[in-house]
Amino acid sequence: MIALLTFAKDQTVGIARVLGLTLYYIVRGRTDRRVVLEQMWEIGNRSVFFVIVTLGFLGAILIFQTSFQSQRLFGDVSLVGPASLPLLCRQLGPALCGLMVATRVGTGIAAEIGSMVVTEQVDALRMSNAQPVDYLVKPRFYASLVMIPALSVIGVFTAWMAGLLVSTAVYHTNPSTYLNFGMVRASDAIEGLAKAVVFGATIPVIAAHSGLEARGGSEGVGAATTQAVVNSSLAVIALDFLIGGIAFVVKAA
Amino acid sequence: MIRVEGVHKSFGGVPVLSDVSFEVPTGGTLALVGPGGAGKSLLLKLICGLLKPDAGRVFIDDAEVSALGETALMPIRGRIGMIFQNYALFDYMNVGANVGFPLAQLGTVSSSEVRERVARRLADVNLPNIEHLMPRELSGGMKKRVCLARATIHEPPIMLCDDPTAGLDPVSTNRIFRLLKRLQQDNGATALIVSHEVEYLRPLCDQVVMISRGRVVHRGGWDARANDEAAQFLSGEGVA
Repeated sequence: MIALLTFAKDQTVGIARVLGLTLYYIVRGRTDRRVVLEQMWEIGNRSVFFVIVTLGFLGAILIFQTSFQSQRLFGDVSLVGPASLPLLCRQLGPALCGLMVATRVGTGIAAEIGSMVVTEQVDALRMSNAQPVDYLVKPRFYASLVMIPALSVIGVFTAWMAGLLVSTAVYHTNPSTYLNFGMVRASDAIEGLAKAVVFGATIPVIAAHSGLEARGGSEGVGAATTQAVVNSSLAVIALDFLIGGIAFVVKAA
Repeated sequence: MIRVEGVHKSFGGVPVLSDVSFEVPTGGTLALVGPGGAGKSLLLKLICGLLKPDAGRVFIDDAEVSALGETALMPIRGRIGMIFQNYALFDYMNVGANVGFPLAQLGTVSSSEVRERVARRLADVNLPNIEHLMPRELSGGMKKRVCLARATIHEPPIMLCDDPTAGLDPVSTNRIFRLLKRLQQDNGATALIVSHEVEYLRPLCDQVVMISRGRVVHRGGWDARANDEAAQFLSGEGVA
């Protein structure tokens, strides 16, 4: 138990250090826009298909199951579409998108940086006066900060549209009944976007920390990659809960 | 000048270097030899500040490298050219970008001058017109020479070479040592070379330091005392 707590403390301190250095180099360092654009392509564009497919299926499952229960309990599914949109905007969209991106992008970042560490490329960067956090983490941080909210918006839209297909095909809902924005508020969208921005800042930092901590050879890179997925996923879920709680308190006040 | 004073370094409670001291005068060349796992590569990383010693001090000229942070180390590292044991070429950059990287990072050299100097340096290491190739397209010997070109592109006054001929055939080994000698003589650089190739190091280096089990067992000229561990190693008989 003590070993586990010590490990958790070391991980938290290490991640906080990488975050601090990233923010420091955002203020002090140079930014190569070309590298940021390359990372935006890698993190954003190359994740679009993955996000569309996973969020599409999850949206379809959500609407199917909710409609099934609604039909059984109330004999009516007309509110399923309008009522699911706030849930998707506020909760499921950013969280599921964050988890998917943590899996795809987090592993990529950890493996790339980890293999650079074990092959001494990170040492070569330092010897060339390029700081690893400035050179490797900052562009990914910027890219992720922009692209994860964008992917979340795409994910929410896809999930809702997939739900529309299921709702009309299986439950014969009128599309105009389903496509009703009456139950969604601006605060739902703001909460969802806030979560996506926080996930966008968190995932690359956690993954990069795991990569920078890689030791040994390919085994070390594998361990760093696993660590990145575990830590990023835990962070997404914990932050989702935390931000959701804060939003609830703010709205109640 | 490089000075190492009483350096100790442990990992997980296991001592790797114990009380290591030696000095390389400005413009001097020192061979660092010893059996595998003796701590030679670790010592190079301590000298350039990539790692910190647990005890002891490391100086480059008047600067105490072991006491400086990353930012303060930047101007010192700008004066060091380092050849890594495993090439450490950036695998996502082509050869031209790799070799020009230290110059580009300085931010004081125009991109056209970087390109010119890269072409010149690649010609110096007998690899002209390969700027467009990626590291994965090169042989081991070519990678080492690209690494040598990158380490010397900014004409550093200090060179640290970590086993520059590891895993190379005798022809490539000979070529690398001849290049090293020529580049070191051209720049008048202070050089510290880690290698097992004692016969190649002998004409290249003024002094030799031998490390075994983390301790200095010989420091000075190439004529180690008879019957001791260093004499055995330096004569090519190896160490038990």
